[in-house]
Amino acid sequence: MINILSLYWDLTELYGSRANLLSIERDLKESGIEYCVDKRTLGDELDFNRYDLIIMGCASEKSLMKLREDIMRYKHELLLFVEGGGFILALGNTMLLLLESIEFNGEIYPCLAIEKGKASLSDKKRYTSNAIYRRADTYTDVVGYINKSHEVEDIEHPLFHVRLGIGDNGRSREAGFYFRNVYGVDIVGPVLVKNPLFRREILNKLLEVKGIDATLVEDELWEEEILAYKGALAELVELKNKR
Amino acid sequence: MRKAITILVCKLAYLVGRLLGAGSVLPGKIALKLYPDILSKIKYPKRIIGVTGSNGKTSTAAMIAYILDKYGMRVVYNREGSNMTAGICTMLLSNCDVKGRVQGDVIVVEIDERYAPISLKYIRPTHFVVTNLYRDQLTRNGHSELIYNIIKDAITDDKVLILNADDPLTSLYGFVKGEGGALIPRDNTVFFSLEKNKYSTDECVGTYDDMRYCPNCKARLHREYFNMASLGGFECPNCGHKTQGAKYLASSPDLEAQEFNINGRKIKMSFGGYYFIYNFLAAYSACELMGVPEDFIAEAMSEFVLRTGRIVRFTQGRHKGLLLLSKHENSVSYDQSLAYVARQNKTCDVVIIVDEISRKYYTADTSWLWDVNFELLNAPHVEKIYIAGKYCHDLAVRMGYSTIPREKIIMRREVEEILGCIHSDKGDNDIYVITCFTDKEKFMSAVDVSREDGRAR
Repeated sequence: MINILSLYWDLTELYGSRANLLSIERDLKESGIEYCVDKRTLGDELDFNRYDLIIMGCASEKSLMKLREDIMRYKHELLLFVEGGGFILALGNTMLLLLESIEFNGEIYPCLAIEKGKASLSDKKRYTSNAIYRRADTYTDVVGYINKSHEVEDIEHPLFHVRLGIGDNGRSREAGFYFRNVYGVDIVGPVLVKNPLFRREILNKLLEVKGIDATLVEDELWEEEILAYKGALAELVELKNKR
Repeated sequence: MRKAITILVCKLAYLVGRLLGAGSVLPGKIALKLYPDILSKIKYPKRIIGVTGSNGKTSTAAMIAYILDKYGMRVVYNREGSNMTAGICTMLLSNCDVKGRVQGDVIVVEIDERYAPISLKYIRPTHFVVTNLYRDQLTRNGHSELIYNIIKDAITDDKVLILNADDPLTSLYGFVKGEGGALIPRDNTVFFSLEKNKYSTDECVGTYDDMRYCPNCKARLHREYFNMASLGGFECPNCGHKTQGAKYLASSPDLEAQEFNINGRKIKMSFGGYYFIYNFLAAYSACELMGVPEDFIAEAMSEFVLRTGRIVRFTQGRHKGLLLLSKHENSVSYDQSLAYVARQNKTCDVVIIVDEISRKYYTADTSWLWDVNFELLNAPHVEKIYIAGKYCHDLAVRMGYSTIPREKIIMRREVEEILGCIHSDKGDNDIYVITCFTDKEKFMSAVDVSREDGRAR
C-alpha cells in the first residue's frame, strides 16, 4: 500500500496543481496498486511515520509564509522522514519550505533546511517564462510554465538543467533540486500531468523503494498524455529555436 | 501647441484607423510617443467612473455608459474595450477639443487590472468599481492576491469605491488597517451584493475555492452560502472580516424568467446568465451614485442588450446553436458557460475549441484547464462533446481525468473537421460552442449567424 499525504492541499492548489495528485492516484489505481490519500492542512496534527509520499503544490506568497509557520513545527520529524527514504514532491513554490531560509520583505525566515539553498520572495515582483528543463540524471525533458515571485541561490543538488526559460535565478541555468527522494520542482500547475514520463520516473522509484513489483499501466489516456507532452515539447523547442 | 498637435494627430490616426477597421490602441501609442505627459495636460470632467476587476469589466462599463447616455449625459467611454493606457489615451484625446478639454459630462473607463496603477497615474476616477478578483490569465496576472496588491496601490482616499460585498478579497478594499491590524471601515465606500437565493449552494461547486481562508489573516473562513465561484456570505472568526451590508442588493433571481430585483425593482435580463447579475449590480450602483433615479436605472437596464459578440445565436444545417464566449485562462467565466449548458434540459452537443490560448500574448500553458469544472458537462442531456484545436490533446487529457464517459468525446485537430462532423450528423441537437475571442471566428465564420446579441429570445 502506498500512503500519500496531500499536505496543505487547500492552500497549494493554485494554477491547477490539484491535477498532480489526481495523476498519481490514477496511475496507481489503474495499475492495481493499493494506495490511500490523506488530506491535511494548516493546524492539523501530522504523523509523518504514516506516509510514503508527501505532495505539496503552489500557494500564494501570503499563504506560503503561513504554511512555513506551520510546517516548522515538524522540522525534526520531516528530517527523519527524509533520512528514512520518504518521498516529498514539492511542486511549485512550496519547494522553498524545504530550503534553509526565505527572505521576505526584508526579514529572513528559517525553513526546514532539507536542501541547501536560500530563497528571496516578493509579493510584488513576478518572474515568468515558458520552460524546458532537462533532468540532469535521466535527461528527461520537463515542460511547463514558470510563474514565480522568488529567486533561489546556492542549491547543492540541482534537479534540472535549463534548456528554455528562467532557472533558479536570473543568472542560473539550473533549476529545482533532487536530494535523496525529495524533489523540488519550480514549475507551476499540473506539472506531473504535463510530464507523464517524469511522473513515471518518480513513481517507479517509489515502487522500487517500497518493494512493490508492479508495472504502471499504459492505456488510452496515457497515450493522450504522451501526445500532449510531445506537442508541448515540440512547440517550446520551436520557440527556443526562434530565439 | 504641442498638446494641440498631439490631440489632432491622435484624432486623425483614430479616424483613419476606423476607416481601415484597425484597433484603437495605435493612435494612443502615437500620442504618448509625441507627448508622454499628454494625459496630465488635458481637462477632465468632474466625474470619472473607472471599472476594473477580473470578470465583467466590459459588460459593466458598457451598461453604465448606456444608462448614463440614455439619461441624457454626454458619456465618453472606451467602447472598443482597449483598457490599457494607450487605448484609454485614444479614447480621451479623440473626445477632446484642441484645447484639451474632454467633451463630456462623465468618463466611463474600463481599466485593465494588471496595469491599473499605470493607467490611473493620469486618469483619476472619482468613482472606482471593482467587480471581483478571480484567477485569470495566470501567465500574465499570477494569482488574485497579486492583482489585489497591484490595484491597492492605485486606490486613493478620495475615490468612492464601489465594491462586491460577496467577494472576500475585493471587499477588503473597503477597509483600512488600524491598530494591531484591526479592520476599520473605509470612508467613501459602498457595497453591492446578491442575497442568498434558490441558486445558492452550501458548498463551493468549482474545482477550487481560493477564499477558503480569510484573505486578510489566513484563518479559516466561515461560509454561509455560495452564489457562484467564491462569492457569497462569509465571516472570519479571527479578524471579523465579513460580508458587508449592501446599499445595492439583488434578490429573487429567476433564470427561467430571466429576471431579478435590485432594491426591490424588477430587472429583466436579455440573457439568463447568473453571473450577469453581479455586472448589473455594479452598473446599477455606479449609475445611482451619478444621480440617476433607481426606477430609471431599472427600466434602462431591462432594455440593455450587450452587443459584444459574446453570445451569438447561429444555425448549422438542422442544428440551432449558441456561442458562449468564454475567456481561456479564466475558469470562473468558463464555468459559467458550462453551468448554462448544464441547466438546459434539451438534448444537446457541445463544442470546445482551444486553438489559441490568449489573444493578448503568446502562451502555450494549459494549466488553467484543470481549474475549469468540465464535470458539469457530465449530464444526461449532453450527448456529444466535440473538442478541437491545437491543444486538443490537452483537452482530451483533461476530459480523460473527468467523469465524462469517454464515448461522448469526439476529438479532431482542426475546427473544420468538427464542422464536417456536425454537418454530417443526422440529428438536430442544439449545439453550444464554448471558446474564446480568438478562436470564435474559426467556427462562426462557417455557420449562419442569426443574432449577434445577448437576447435569448
